Amino acid sequence: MTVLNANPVVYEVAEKIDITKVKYDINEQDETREPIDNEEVFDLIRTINDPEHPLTLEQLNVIRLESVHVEDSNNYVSVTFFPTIPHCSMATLIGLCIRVRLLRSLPSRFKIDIFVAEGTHQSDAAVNKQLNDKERVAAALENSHLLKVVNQCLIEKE
Amino acid sequence: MIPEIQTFIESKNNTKESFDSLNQLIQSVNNRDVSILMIVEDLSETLISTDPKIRAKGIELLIRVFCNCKKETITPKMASVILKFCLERLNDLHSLQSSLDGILYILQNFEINHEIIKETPKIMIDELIIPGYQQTVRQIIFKIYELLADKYLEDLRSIEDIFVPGFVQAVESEKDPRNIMVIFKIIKIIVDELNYKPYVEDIFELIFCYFPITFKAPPGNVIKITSEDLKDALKKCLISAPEFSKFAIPQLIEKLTSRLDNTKRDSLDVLIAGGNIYNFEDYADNLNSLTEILRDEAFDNAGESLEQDFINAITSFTNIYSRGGNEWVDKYIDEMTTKPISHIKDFGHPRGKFSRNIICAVIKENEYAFTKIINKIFPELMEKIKQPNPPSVQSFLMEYVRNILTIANLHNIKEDHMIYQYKDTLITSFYKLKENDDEENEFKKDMEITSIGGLYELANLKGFLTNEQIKEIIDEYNNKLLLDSREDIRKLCLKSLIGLSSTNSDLITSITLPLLYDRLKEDMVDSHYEWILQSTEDITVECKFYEDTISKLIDIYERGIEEKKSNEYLSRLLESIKNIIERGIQIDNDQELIVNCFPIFKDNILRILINYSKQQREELSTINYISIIFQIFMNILDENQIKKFNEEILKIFIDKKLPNIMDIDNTTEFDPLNENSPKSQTCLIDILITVTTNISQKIFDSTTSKKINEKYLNKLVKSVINTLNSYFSNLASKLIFIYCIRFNNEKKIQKNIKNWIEKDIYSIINSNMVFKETAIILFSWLCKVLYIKANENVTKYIMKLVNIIHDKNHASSCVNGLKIIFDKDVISEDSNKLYTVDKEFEENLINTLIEEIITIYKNSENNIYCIIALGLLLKLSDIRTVSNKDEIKPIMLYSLTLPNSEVLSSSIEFFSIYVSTLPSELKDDLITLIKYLISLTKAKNNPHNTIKVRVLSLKLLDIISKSYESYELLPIKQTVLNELDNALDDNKKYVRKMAVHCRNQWFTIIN
Repeated sequence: MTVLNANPVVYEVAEKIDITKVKYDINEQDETREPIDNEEVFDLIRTINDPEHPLTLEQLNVIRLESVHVEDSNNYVSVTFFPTIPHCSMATLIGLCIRVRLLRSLPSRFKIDIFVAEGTHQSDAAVNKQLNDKERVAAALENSHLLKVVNQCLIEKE
Repeated sequence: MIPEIQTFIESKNNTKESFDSLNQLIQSVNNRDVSILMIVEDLSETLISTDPKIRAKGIELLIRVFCNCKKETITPKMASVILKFCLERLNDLHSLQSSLDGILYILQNFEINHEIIKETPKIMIDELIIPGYQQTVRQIIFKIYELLADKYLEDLRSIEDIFVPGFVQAVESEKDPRNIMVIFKIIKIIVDELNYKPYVEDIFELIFCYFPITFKAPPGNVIKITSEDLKDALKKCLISAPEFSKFAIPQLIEKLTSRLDNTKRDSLDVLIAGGNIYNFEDYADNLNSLTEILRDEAFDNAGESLEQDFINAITSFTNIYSRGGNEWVDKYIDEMTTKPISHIKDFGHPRGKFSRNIICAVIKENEYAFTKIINKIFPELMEKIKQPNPPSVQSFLMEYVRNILTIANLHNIKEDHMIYQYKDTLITSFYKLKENDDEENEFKKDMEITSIGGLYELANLKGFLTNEQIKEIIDEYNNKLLLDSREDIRKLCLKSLIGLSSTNSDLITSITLPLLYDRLKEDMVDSHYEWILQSTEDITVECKFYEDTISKLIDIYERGIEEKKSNEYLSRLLESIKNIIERGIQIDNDQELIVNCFPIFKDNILRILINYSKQQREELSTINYISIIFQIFMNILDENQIKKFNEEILKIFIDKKLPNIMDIDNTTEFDPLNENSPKSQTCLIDILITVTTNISQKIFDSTTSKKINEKYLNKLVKSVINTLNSYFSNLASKLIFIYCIRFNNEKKIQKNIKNWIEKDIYSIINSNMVFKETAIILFSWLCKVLYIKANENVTKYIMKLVNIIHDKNHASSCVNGLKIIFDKDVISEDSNKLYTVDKEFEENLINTLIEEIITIYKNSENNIYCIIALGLLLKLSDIRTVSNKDEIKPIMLYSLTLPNSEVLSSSIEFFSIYVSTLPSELKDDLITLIKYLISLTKAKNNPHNTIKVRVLSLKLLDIISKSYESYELLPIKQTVLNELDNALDDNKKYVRKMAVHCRNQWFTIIN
């Protein structure tokens, strides 16, 4: 398979945090709610791997902190992503990966919308429709080959 | 035919039959039932079969048996024969891999006749067409070449006229980074060791085609080669021979104009690295093209990230051209600086800044170039700065002058240098630069920074300024250091002061440091003292002014306590003392100076502590650093000093004799073991513990052990038992513990302990007293001594302790006591080094105790503390040696359902260790355990599921997902995934993150 965008621009990213090594005082007694915010959601998806390159979506600037919108109290999350090139055939797959990661990591009360940023893709309307169609997403995930590819993208590297 | 051979030949590749037959055959060869010769004979038909598949199988079998049987079964002669056989087979594509495996194995493991070795590369070069083979085959070929170069260089030398050109031709167009590394390695060996001269151009072409090399490691980087490794190896190859320069320099110069930054950077790197190796003529021939590109790139094209690389390169090239004598330096600097100098004359030229950088770079490291350029430009520059220029021009010019002065300092110019003629102009201009009051001047801050830097450079020039003038500059810096609100300006001043300290140390220690001390004494509301202390530390270390600063800081500390300053401030003062001592120790030759500070520190701190202790004042709450500092001193003092200090501190404690030098209020008596111990008192005991732990056994025997006699110990034990202060009791008990551990007459001390326990402590424990905590603490520390000494009575005593668990009021003290006995963390690392525990004794003791606790648990109603004690013991012991795990498991599982967060945490911690160490033992209870854990991850309506409980449960679920086979976990996977939904919505961010991590782990479990 030829790589569509062979030489993408790579952006500097924050260091990956290994949750098992984060120091946190677990003897803390304060149970006040810390709401889910866009940084937390961004942190969930920034390590997703690009299907074509050995780079993460954050490194490719496909996802950005400011394009993650979270309303904890209204149970709503939307993520807008930016394909590196307008004819990127991987856009749907990337969107699917983001959706699967969020389905696995956010409480089920959330409604999740995934969008391609307007004007960044030649068929953005079609991709958006596909990504936010429950039946189609479910059907896609029943395809074992596709699920394998998605899982591959979701593996967190060291 | 041997049956195994038949089976192997007839069975398909990689099947069970083929493996079994091969293994059996290897076994037979090892047992000497079958010899390699017999196998060859049996295979004779197969090895020359016309069917390539059969032939390949035969060769594969022979080589695999040969490579895997014991080495003793093979003679060198046999190895030679097989090597020859393999070499002959290299033209047979079907059996190529086996033959190569054989060659590699034989070359690695046997001493072979040199004639055959010499034949090996020849045949390989003739027969192998490397680019046509698949990756695994190519890799073996390169391994063989690498082995030949490493092990058989002398043989290669004798056939160098065949090997060198042959190798260069054979390895062309290789792409695998592992093999490329081998090529670079062998080429380096060829250039260093063999006659490469006739083939210079070919070798250069082979390696230069890889330039510039980039490589993106695959995820996980299994091959463990980085882009840097490849770059480095290629660079070393490219500069390995002077003859390469003829081809390399023009091509590298051309690559400097590439549009890729990495290519430019790599080309510069090689051109500079080759500076001392390449032929100078080739640099000389390319002077014009090189300087043109360097200038253009530094001016326009390089971009910010590369600018510094080009500037550094310009400096390096001055050094390279100086190889050709001053004549070539002249040529180089003419080429490089003519245009920049003319740009600078045209003030305000857009290339002004770059021109300045280029000129400075050219003269930076070469004194001849420096003098030449300065003679040319300096007089005019001095004229210009005297004129009333607009701020932009003046700022630019003065920065230019400052850069030149920095370089002048690098060259250590003397007083006859031209720059000295412009003394007054320079001083006036730099002072004038900062006196700019025009608020709208956007260059104001730049000019201030240039002024600070410029004055610094002037002060550093030998004999340039008078002492008065330098003092004035230091005053200026001090002012800014203390009062300026801008952090960068303050930092710059600190840096300048430190820079000046090597030549003006007395001025800085007599002016700057006192100012800093005074500032520290003032009332500082904000945390400005952080900065002042940081500066004090830096300057003290730089000027080696340790003693004075430490004594001043203690002084300020004492005054701070009087004035009731904040705890953060006071403890930061002590931390500063600690930092200064630690930094001083790191510096060569300064350790002695630090040792000299010890009396001052010790006397003053002891005086403060004793005074406060006598007055029973409670202000000292920041004393943690004091023991740490004593500890650091103990590590650097010599034997005699330690002994003296030990005697002194013992005198204070035992004889209540205070050193005369101390200015201590004598109206009240000092009681070193005042049980109403204020904090200063506990600090004193802590110091005594530190000293007793760290002295050598010799000193202990000759001083401590004599001074602390039985009478004193008895008194100490009584004071511990009778006090109500558990903090004091713990410290004093710890002191008794350290003493008993180190005391050399074991019989005597163990008898004493027996007496204390059976008389003093038992009388309290058996009584109806409500408060027994301090007695239990001492009891536990004494039991710890006996346990370490493997005393038989200890079981009885700890049983007694365990039985207190019945009593609700004392159960928690009992659990705490068990922690004291078995937890290594209750004492410092140094104390732990003083003893070793008999493993077998420990195992038996813990097993007995566990059994006892289980019995108590079964017979009592109040069993929560039993479970906590059980969890604690299991956590602190080696779970593999615990005997009655079958009884423990159900209790601990049940405890996961109890509504008590302390019990829950203790039990989960136990299971975490259990699952990671012995996962198989929990297989049957796995589903139950997981279900309990899931319920513990939910916070809603379960107040006992604290953050700690939730996090520990999630961590354990994560450990479980990694410790068991997927078929064991799959039945419950979906439940776990569904139920963890609650934890994903936890109130706490950290718990949610843990839950996401854990849930993702469970998603990866697949069939």
